[in-house]
Amino acid sequence: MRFLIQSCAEAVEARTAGQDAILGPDGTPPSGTGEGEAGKGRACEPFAYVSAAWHPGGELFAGGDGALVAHWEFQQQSPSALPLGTFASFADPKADDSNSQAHAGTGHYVTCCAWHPRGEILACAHSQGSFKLISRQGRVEKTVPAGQAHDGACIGLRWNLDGTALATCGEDGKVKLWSKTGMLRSSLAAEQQAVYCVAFSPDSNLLALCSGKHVVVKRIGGTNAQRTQFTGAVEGEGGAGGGNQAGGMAANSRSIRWRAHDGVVLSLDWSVANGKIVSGGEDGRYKVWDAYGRLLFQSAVVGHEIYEFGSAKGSAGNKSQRGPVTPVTSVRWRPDGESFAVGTFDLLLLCDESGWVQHKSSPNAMRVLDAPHGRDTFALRGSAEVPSSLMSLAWSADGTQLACTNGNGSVFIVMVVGEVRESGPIALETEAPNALLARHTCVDQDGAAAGGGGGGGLGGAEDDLLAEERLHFGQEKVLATGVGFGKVVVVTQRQTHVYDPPEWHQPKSYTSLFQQDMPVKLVVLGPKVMATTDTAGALKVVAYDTGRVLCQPKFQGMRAELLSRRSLAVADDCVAVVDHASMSSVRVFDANTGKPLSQRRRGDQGDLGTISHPQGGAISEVGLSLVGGISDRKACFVDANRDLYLSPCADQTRQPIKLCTMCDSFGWSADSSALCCVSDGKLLVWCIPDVCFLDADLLPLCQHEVPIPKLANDALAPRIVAFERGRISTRSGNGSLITYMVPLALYSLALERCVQQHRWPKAVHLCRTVSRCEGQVRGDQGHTLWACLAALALQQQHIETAKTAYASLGLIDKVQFMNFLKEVPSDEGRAAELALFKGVPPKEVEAMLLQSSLHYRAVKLNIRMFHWERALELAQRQAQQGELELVHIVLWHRRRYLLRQGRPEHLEPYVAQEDELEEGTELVDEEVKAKIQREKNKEVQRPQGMIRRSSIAY
Amino acid sequence: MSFRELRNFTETMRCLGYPRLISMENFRTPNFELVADLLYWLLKRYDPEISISDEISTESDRVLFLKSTAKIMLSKARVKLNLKRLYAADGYAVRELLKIANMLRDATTKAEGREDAVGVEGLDLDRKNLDPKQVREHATDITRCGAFLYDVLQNEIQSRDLRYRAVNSNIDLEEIERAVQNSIQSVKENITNLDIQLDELEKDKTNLESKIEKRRAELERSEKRLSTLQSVRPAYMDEYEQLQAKMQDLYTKYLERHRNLEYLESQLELHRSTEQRQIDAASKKIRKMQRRLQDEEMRILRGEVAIDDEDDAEDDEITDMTDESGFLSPGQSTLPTRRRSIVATELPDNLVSSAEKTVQGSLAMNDEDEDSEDFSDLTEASEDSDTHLSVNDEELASEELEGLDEDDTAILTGDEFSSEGSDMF
Repeated sequence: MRFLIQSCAEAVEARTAGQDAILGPDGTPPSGTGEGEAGKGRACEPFAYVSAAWHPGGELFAGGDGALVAHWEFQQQSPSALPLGTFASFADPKADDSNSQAHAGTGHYVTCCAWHPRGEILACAHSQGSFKLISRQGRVEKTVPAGQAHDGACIGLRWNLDGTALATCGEDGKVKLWSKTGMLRSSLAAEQQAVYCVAFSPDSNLLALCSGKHVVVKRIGGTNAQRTQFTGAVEGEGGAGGGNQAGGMAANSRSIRWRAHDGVVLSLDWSVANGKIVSGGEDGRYKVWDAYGRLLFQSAVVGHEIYEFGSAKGSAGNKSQRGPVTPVTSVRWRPDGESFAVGTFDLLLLCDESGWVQHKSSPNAMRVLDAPHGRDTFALRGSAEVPSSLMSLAWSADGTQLACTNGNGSVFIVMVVGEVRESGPIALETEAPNALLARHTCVDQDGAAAGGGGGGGLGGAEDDLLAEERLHFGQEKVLATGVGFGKVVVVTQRQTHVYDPPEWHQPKSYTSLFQQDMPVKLVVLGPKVMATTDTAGALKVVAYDTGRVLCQPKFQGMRAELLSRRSLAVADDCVAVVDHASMSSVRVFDANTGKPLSQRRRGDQGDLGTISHPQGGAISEVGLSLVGGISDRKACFVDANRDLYLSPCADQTRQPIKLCTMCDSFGWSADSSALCCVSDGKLLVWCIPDVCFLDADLLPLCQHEVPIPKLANDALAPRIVAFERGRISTRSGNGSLITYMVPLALYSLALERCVQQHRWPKAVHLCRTVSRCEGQVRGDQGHTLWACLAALALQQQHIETAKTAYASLGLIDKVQFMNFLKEVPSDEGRAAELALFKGVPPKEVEAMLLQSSLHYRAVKLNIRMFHWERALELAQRQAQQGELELVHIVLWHRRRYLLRQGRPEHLEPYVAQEDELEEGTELVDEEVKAKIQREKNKEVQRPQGMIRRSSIAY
Repeated sequence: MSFRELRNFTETMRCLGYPRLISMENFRTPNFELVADLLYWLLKRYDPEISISDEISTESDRVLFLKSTAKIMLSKARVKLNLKRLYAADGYAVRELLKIANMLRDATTKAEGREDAVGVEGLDLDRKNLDPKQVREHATDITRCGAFLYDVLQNEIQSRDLRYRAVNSNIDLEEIERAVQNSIQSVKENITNLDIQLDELEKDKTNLESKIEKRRAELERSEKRLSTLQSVRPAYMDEYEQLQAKMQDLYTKYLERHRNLEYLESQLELHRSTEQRQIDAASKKIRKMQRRLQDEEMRILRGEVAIDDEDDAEDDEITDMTDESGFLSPGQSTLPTRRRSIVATELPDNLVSSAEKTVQGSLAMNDEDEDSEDFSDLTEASEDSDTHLSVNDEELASEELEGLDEDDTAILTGDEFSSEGSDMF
């Protein structure tokens, strides 16, 4: 990986004599900066530009001590961006000096600037405490004077994500919220020390600010439910605050404060995509936090050797001595949330989401974009800068360019090239902003490309066949790429290309998927469709082969710009999205229609197409299983407490089931129904996760732990990158890619294949073989595989195999039950019993039975559940149609029950029924038993049900 | 208020390489120690030669320190410092310090700009063609140069002394001139000597060259001669070649004949052995017959069998025998002629015919007259020898027979048989 740099040349008219005097020492003339540097065409005045901001349309704006805002346009071919001149100038020295004698010597030096997310307004903070709102045309729309805004300098400002609010912070320790037009909404905080930076949370309901050595997260909006949840989290985390929001405690309960760094915290950013906070301080470290202030990563000191100026002064002979700690002056998340940039003294770092450094380089050593000689740097070209800190960083909206402002006054754009995306045999490397290097390593010709070689294809002869291809897109810049499921998707400014490796030559190209000024933000690939979001806020589901937008799912409160790879999951037939509005539910849409997925519902509660968290916790990640049809589709999600839940997509009657806690990341297998996750430092695999909906007792048996070697200096949990063909690739905390071979996953894959083809004896044989080879004690792979087989057999309702599997597991009670099931005479009855066994709520089962008019069985079910009233009710309903037997049976059971309990009758309906019965009949044991037998015979003799379940076999 | 100055100051000091971290919060509260340290460092940075006390323990010391620094800066750098602000050591002091810092910074920036780009190129971690071999080479070069430099610098102390002495000692111009003249003289002499030597060498060289020329000519001549000699063809050569061809011809003929001879001899040998076997068998039979005849006779003599019967039996047996040999016509019924034919004709006929056959077979390949003649000779010879042999055999056999007959006659007198047997010879 490497950086390409493009400097921003100074606009010619930017220099006037009056402004040079600002920086020069009082009374001495400016030391010839203007003339000296004009020929070079570089912004070399120190601190001329300290803050940069991208307009969403792709222009770069920067302001600083020059008291003006200049703007540039990116150009692909030249080593420097095209200057567009001064955008707005604040310096009219005469008027300013006379007016503001109180702040002697301070001008309108820009300290921070930020574009409104829709590109309408540029907000500029000034060092004397005011801030200005400037329209796109460069006209100052509004000036909030120093007294109103901040005392002392206004240091930072930030728009929230939808552009409805602006937060400013200042040297006086205050943080203020403003409306879009510059009206004061509220004063959020008053810290003791200066606040250097603020950042909004992804949903704009929280605001992070750094003051002194602390970082503070404050709640500024949102629903009451979220507020209480936040408060709860505060209590859990910090132990501060009370439940009530009254009195002095209210302020505390609405914020989390933690000590972040040993030095002053200088910069802060909150990722929209993954919700993590990164902070950088004067102790020279950067740290990654989650939204509740839990430390996720702490870097080493990003130190820097003392820079020798080459002059022979040799102060105190510090040749090999390490220099002072250089503060981390700026941090900024990349919009896709997969990496962030860290700026410090003469060093720019690109770090992975989990914190480790992907690449670092000094600006002077970066290669120049499109230089005649590919390896040119500014240092080699003789136009090197004096090293200085990177004062601010700004990513462009598409995440391909990073604008940096240097302490020595230069502005440059950095492009990251050499990033590699890999999936199976395909690797995609960015070579230049408009070129990609694609590699396709063919492991075995037939299997690998399809991604479904399966167990048989694994051992095949591997003849490495490396197909390498350079994809060049001419003038168009590559905005987003996606690799997976044997497809490569490249989105450029105008077109979308879908490649089908190893065929690189004829991509399917589609235009007009995205508007040019609303570029793509996110591409998530699925097996047959992909989902994209753009800055316009539309979520689109696109089919690979036609390029047609299948649908644009929408729901109340959807914020497509907030979606990330974590909160959006795509499968063949549905799309799952974390609902940002309610936070505790996942929305599932049909991929073809865009409508909420039709589900079996429990009564009338719950919206169509939602999966909600059973405890109402906030859901942070969602994933969909990738194989099987819509009825087998399962979603799993991770909540704020890092608990992993599993839920069927198309069935709302089943509650989501908690699989494990402390889940750091999870992944669905691309070719089997297996699920793996990293939980509490362990790598767990569930080959058949459905088992929790079939037989919850089997869940612990189905769980397989893959041993993870403990790596040195690896404090972070590994992240699952891919799970395919029994191989789990993880990115460990220190950045290394580790692949685990899980034989069990392969076995279960083979097992699933057998079951799909209804080759039960073969499946049993496979289990026997494996358990003989791998051991069959609890915890061994053979044992786990038997549990998988039991689950699969239950799923397919193949009772004989299930019995075998349970017998091998040593679960005698289950074997007994399977025997019982075999003796149930009717198919419907058997299905009902099996449903009960699976944990379907009794009400549903009862409905099933009544539907197939198995009344005795329904009544008996209620008696077994001690639902006496319901049993009687059913019996009476039957009695109205002239069959009194059931009532007698119920009464007889009830009497026996009361006799055993030694209690009198207390249920109203029963008392009434007893009264009714008094006149005529007597309940004699033999007679009632005969009646029961008659009922049972009725079931045996009844004609085959309407819904013949042929799959129930012996 | 002072955020910008603070930020700029910390950044500038970082650029200048101030050896400790200046925090943004350092000047929120008065911090004279830091200000003094910064001031001292900046002064030293401005001019390392400046000597100034950095004693700031008491109030008067501090004032003195500030005053002296301000004086120096004013006189040397024309920078006016506000002492009150410096003494307050808060945000405003930063502004004063920033004046010096900015000046220093501008100076370094300019210096950089004038000079070359300076090796600010950081370590590009990603350089793909960073040749490790080359790097290693450079590293060893560096160490070697370093060692060399070190050695040279060690000698420097002594050489410096010498140099000083040489530079500082008095110089006598006359002496120097004389010495120079002397050396010039000697050099001239040297030059003349060398010239003479050079001449001689030149002469030698020409001599040697002429010699070499001569030898070379000689060599050429002899080479030419050699080539002419090689090109001439001797007179007898044609004849020789003819003869050689003839000889070759003859040799092949000889070989052929020799081979045939050998073959025929082997055939003869074979034939002889078969004949011997046949003769043996015949004689055995005859002897057997004779014995039986003898027995017959004895029986007849003893008067056991009628004579007529016996005759018939005899006849039968003999015809049997002749039938076996297959040479006699059934018409020849008389015993004596039959006997002779058995002995005389049977063997040679057989042999000759077979021999002829083979010879003709071999002759078919080269039908030259002489060859066939030769072969006919040969066959004749073999025929002769055969006949001879057969005659010998005949004689031998007849002798035996004779012997037997004699015996018989000795025993049988006046017998039909015996008389007929003697007739035969």
